[in-house]
Amino acid sequence: MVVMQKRSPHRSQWIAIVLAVMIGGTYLAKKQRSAVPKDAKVQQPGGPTPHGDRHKLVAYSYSSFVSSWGPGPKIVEEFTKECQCEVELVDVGDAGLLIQRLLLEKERSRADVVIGLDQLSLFQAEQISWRDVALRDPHWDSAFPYPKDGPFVPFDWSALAFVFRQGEVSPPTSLDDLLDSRFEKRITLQDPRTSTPGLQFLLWVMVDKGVDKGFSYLKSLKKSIHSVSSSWSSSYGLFQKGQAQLTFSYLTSPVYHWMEENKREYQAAIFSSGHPVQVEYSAIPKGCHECELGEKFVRFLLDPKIQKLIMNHNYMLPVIRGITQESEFAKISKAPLIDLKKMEDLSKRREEFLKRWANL
Amino acid sequence: MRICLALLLILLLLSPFLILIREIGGWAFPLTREALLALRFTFLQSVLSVLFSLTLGFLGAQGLLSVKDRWNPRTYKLLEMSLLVPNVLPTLFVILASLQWIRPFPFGMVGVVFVHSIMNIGLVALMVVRLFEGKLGGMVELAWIEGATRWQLLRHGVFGYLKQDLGWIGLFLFAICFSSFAVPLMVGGMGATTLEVLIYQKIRVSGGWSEALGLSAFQVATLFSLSLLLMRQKSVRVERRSNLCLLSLPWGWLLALLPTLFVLLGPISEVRLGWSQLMRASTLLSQLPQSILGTVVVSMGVGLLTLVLLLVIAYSFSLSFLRRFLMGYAVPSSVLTGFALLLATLEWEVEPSVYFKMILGIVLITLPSLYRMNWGSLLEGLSRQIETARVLGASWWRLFLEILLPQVLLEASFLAGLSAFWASGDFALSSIVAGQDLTLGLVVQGLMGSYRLEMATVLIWVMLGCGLSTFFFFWGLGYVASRKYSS
Repeated sequence: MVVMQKRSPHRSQWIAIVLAVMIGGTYLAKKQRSAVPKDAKVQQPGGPTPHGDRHKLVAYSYSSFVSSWGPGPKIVEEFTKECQCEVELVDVGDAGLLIQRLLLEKERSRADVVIGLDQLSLFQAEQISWRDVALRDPHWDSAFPYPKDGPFVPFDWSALAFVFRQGEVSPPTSLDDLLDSRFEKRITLQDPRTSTPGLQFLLWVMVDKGVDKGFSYLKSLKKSIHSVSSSWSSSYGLFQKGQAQLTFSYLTSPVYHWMEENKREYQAAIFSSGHPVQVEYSAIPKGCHECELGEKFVRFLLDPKIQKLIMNHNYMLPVIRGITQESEFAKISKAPLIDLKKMEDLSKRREEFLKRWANL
Repeated sequence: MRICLALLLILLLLSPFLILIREIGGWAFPLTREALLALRFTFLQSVLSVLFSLTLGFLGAQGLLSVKDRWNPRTYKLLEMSLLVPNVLPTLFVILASLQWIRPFPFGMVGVVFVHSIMNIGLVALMVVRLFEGKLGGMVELAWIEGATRWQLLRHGVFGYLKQDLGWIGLFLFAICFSSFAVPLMVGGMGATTLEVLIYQKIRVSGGWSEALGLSAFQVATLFSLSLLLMRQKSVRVERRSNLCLLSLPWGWLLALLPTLFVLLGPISEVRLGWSQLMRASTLLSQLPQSILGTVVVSMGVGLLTLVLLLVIAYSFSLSFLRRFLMGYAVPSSVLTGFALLLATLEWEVEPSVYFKMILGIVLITLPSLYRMNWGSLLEGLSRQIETARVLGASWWRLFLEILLPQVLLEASFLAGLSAFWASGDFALSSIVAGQDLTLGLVVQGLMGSYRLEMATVLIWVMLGCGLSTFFFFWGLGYVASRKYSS
């Protein structure tokens, strides 16, 4: 039997695919390399970092701030126009891992600025040395409850609240209201062990009810809970897809649906007993390489033009007054706030609370 | 040479642990009530998930046998591919589909087992059908001639002969479920804790890296102990499909396909709103070609590196320490591996490409799974041939080139393709090492984290397209190369 050795008809296709991928890879690698100027030198911690006549600022932040639809890239674009420098935004993933990454990297960290610390993580942040930032008397919004705190400079904030769709369920007016049978299996929450809003909710209950009564309340609340997700995005996703009628989120969340989807039925439920708050901070680690530039950047975040940009892309409230006027953000219901000092104090007992949460 | 390669491979796989131990200065196992409760829940949900996934996947594999020779090869290949879809989608979408179709959804242990089964049935069916083809061909034919009934064939032939192989698949599934993170949290009910959740909590809440590392080491120790329970059994690889239809189950393929239909006809079928939003998002649209290219580069890189490392394993397989190590070893979770890679490269004078870090990280995480999934079992089946060739005086290199390579290349390419497919949807590790939205997985995750679930839904289809293309590339490459070798 003669076996005919045939040339595979697919060979040229394979070669074309391999070549295309190799070219693509080379293009991407070049594109990545081009972010660093050709004359860049190895940086010495704490020392000067010349990149020709342009300096390079490295800013660590969380994913949704850095992403192309987040405020990060646009802020960088505006800043580079003013500073004649380069800015590298580094996405560190989950905001909760920002501090841990800095602690692990120690003096080898490349970060000149850190964007996205929240007030509950500040006590952990104190393990790191930070540089004080001199601000030029910003006009803080009177509604904003946290002015500058030591080296940490706030740049946006929002109260947290339960978000619902009008017409689906009549909104709750208090934490006790959530125990009502109309909310049975209708609420999505976040796990406080893996999510910052989840921790905010747990601490809110502790502030409102006291510790022991708070955990009894959480036990009773189980019947109203549809699911507890590992992240805000998952619990909000379940809510968006109609699996739940109420989700714990930001007071500003409905604005996204008003602005982007023209869905006015999204609303936040206001509790007269008060709401917790999330404040986001930027700060400069003492081991910064481009410290002056870092300070300039932190101050830049408080510029009214940038505050507006953050508001419209991060769906959070500005910390500077006069920015929300004539925007959808001005239509958000005013929410009273809980005793924030008490919440901060209780947040130091979080490990104890999280253990009890796991046993609920 | 073989010993050097094996040691280098072990060192590479252990590197996340070694780097973290060096950085953190040791580990501590928090033997608390909390950890024991987490262990109990993790263990129980893993065992039950394995049992269900394996049973249903087995029936699915029987179904695949019934259609394999009747269907057009391309349609069959498409069916095989579609079975992998639930395994690569972001967990949220699988959970959304489950919640959409099952009302009221049984939250708690039942829910966790259900979602894990949905994610794994198709993959198990695919693995088992390859096992049937690779190991049972000759035996089934003989049993049929001898007049064995279907039940006798299943009892003595399949379960008797393949018990170790099925055990390996079980261990592979166990490792996946044992390190599951989002599923137990979302559908396990309030306060559900697994070891993986505890590891993340230790890092995130208290910066307890040494405790996290201790828990991770404990996970590995558990897998090692379980791997010791699987007895060594040498089987012969006989690739014949002539009478495998004796094992077939006509409706089984539908069972295997059900999870995919479940997911594809569920939340990700609603793309209309997402599409119109995407068309208005000019920044995202302009970024999309680069994200697609990034996904393909990472997928191809992962596939290629996996292929090379699988062949290194094949070359060094006769070393028992390597076999034992690969059987029981699990790389620490994505967070720990990601941070280990970051720390390892901080001091390098020349910063390696982030693509390199992503590729290496994903391969480190998937390689032990691929070994447990099929590779170890396949090589074990060839060990008699290796022994015979060695007795006849064949060198290791010649043995590898002329005996092993022609027989394993197709399977290696399949596993490399699978690894590439998984890589196309990765975000857990990539989000730590990438620093930017370089791949579609990262873009999808970012969109989900900023209200844009609908747009993420559209991009998931693009992501699946990229993943499937790279999978087919490797599978096809293996097919062409193995045919060339055979001829």
